[in-house]
Amino acid sequence: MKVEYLNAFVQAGCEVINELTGIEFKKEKIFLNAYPIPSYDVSIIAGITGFITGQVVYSLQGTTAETLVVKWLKKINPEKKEKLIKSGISEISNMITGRSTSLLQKKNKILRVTPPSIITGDKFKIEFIKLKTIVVSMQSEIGPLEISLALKESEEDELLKEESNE
Amino acid sequence: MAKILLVDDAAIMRMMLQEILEEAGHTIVGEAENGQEAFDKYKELKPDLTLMDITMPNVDGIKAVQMIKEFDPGAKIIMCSAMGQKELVLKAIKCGAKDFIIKPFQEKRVIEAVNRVLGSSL
Repeated sequence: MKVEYLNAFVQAGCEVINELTGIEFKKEKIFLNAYPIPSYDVSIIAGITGFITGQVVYSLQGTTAETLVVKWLKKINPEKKEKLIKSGISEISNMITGRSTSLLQKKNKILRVTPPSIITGDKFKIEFIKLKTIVVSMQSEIGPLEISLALKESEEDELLKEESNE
Repeated sequence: MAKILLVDDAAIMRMMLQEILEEAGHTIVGEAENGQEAFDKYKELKPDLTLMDITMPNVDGIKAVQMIKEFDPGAKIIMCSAMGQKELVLKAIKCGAKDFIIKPFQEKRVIEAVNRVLGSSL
């Protein structure tokens, strides 16, 4: 997997979270995993298709997710808190993925992203078929964020090139 | 003020947009969570303006714009998406969207786009 993919997600993650909440995340370490076993109890998964294809998993503690959403919204209705935190952290991850695809964009080509899926709890393992996973661990004052990337270049880009020229 | 349809699969984004637009004096006449629902609600509610996400389950926002514009060529639609790739923005505009707001957005950017599109006779 190209290092530019990794850099795009780290840059997008830091920028989007800082713009929304004022919180700073910093890259701490990078490592390879055979499988992306999320380290924390909230995970958000999104798929990417186009000239790059694969999956991205964001993993963080429930308390970190809650703090991010509360800081973003500034005020939160207690009756809708749980729903808004789930929706909010999914949307934050969607914005990070979206910003990453903008950083990776190429002329006449489109990267598409699937709607994010959120999983809570720590008793699961996600298996990406035939794709090694690079994990970026990031740290902040409100806790860690882990971004697992299983991405590769794809031959789908020609199809999308035609589509984008319709 | 205008009758607006909000289309986004994220409840939090619909809530935020509703607050911004109602504060500006507009009425939210309906909400949809995917492109097919957006098309169905558009036909039923005939809004003055639709704010449309792109990445949604089943039918995405680009396809929904095409469906709505085929039904009503005069439909006013603003895209509101985290996907800010130039080619995607161009595709949305080519399909008939009048503006493109990239998430995360500032409140004033939403108001500016809505006022501009509602004020235009295109």
